[in-house]
Amino acid sequence: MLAVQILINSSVIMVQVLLLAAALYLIYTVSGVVCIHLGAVMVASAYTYYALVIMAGLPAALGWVTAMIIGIMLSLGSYWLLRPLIKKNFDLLGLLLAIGLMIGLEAVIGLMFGASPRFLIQGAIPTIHLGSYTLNIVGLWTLIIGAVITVVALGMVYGTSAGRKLRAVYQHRSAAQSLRLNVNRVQVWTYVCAGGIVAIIGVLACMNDAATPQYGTTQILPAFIAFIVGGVRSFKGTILTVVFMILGVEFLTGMNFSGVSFSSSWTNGFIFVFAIIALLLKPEGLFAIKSRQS
Amino acid sequence: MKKALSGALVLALALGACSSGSGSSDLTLVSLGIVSPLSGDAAVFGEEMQHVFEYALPTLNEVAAAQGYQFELVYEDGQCDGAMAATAVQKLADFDNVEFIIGGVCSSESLAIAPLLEENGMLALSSTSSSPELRGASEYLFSLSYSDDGVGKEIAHQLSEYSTVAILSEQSEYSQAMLAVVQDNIGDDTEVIYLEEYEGGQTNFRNSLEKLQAVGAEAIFINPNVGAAPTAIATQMEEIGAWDGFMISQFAMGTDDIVSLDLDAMDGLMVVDAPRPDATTFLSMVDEITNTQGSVENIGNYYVAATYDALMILTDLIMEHDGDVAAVQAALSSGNFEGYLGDNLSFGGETFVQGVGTANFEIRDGELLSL
Repeated sequence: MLAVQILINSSVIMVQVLLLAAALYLIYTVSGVVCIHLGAVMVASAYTYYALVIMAGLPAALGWVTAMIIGIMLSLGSYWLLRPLIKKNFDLLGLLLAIGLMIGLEAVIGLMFGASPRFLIQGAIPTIHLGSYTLNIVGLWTLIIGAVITVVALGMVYGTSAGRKLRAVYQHRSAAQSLRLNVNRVQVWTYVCAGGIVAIIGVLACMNDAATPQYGTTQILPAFIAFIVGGVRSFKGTILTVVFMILGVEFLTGMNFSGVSFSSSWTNGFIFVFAIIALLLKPEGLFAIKSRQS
Repeated sequence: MKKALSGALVLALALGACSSGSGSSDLTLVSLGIVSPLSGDAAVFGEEMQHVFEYALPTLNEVAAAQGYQFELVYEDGQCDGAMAATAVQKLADFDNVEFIIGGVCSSESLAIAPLLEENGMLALSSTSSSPELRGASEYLFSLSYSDDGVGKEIAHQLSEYSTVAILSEQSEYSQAMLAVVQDNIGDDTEVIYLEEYEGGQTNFRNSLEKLQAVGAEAIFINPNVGAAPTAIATQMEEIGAWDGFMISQFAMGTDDIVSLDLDAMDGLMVVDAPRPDATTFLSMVDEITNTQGSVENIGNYYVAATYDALMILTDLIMEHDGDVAAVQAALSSGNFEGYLGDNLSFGGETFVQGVGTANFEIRDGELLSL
């Protein structure tokens, strides 16, 4: 019984990380930059919702729409800043700039709202009880929206012409350009999609937990690790790694194995141990796609 | 035009000279350093204590002026972190020439600043730090807080009524010290069958709480520090429901933020804390602070009184002993004082104020009731 409940709870956490990892993947695919600042974008969207709905008392729908607009604007803004580096394939400098953006955004959020935690839902979240199992409404919505976004994203990447363009840009940016593919447009739309995904998951995650300026960093780290360990070239690899890694670690810390039990304070430790072992065994990533060397 | 301007300048200078001569320049200005968390998880504590200081300062300075003194407060952010608090104290000593500090607030802050006091010729009076590890940390460090020893022993005493106990505890300086006292004092017939620890800043406790409930202990001890954790724990316990056993905690779970949520899961939770001052004059002061400066709900009545008393006792002694640090230290160590905390406060050569016991409360229907 405990195992099923842990699986339900962990699935919600897994979906949060999964969508962040998906956003990281999408942006990396078209621009070659690991946009680690998406964690801060996620929190900025959540604080936008908090400011409008909780502080100003405006309707939740307006909060959602504005949070998404802020997420997309921040994502596009970061693209505008990163664009010169993307053009010159300065991937590491791009990562450095992304880290700077993350720290800067967190600092601005801290200055505007203070460091105290903010709850996007006041009081206990309404909960569904199925026999002895429980799942709150936010968790349920996270699972539903997560499933929809994942299916749509997979369908788009592997089954549409837009997805083919995306993969073409990833596989050879200059070749795609010479074939008159509008690389800039593909990049812009990818940043828009990533910003939207991150905004949705930011509001949901902060509803489920609590928003603090640094909350995004704690969420983006496992997503980043899954993205690297899964093999940066593989969307399926990223997804499968998130599933195995998050469910595995949450089970390890959530279960009681005949008196042997690990506290939740071990969670990050287990994630890093998993990453180290996986990368020692397969440095190119667990599900890396082999590419032809020119 | 030039003549008119220079005339105005001379007049302004003359007026300035007149006003400084007749006013504050006759007074001895003493800077008091306030080391408290103004950012981070415990920032609410620092902010609410600031409300108490800002409320008290104008009246204090009116009284002090009659004795030739004026006090100013220099706030430094200790972030509830030892290293940050140590840096703050060093800055106060080196750049602000501060000799007297009110703080730290968190025990981690006070533990870190204790070794710096004597070498910098400083004295610190904390109103809230309560870790037993502070005892004897420095002759120049005092605390008006009750020691966690008393609270921990009372929690252990209550838990000893049960044969099995499960614990959810934060890995913070305060919670770890409290946990150690409880574990050291729990009865021999009581077994801690499960201990779940979490890192500060964590806000998702669902799996931890499920595990805690599943072990089926007769009693549960919840031991968070201030910040997001207590509210998150309370609301997520409500989601899970069916908490039947005896539950006990310390002040962090007894704040207005949690009590006012009126959660079924919190009904019956025993909170062990310091006794809460309830004199009418004190309660009307709390109302005035709330109305003029802002809320002091989260620090609670004991720490409001302790913060106010710390400012008054320290400034009294500074004026009495002409700001001599050693003399103020000796007087604090051996004297008796009056305040909202009591009429006969003393340290008796100890770090913590003597004679403050503990009180038990229970959360019931959205209220914190005295037991």
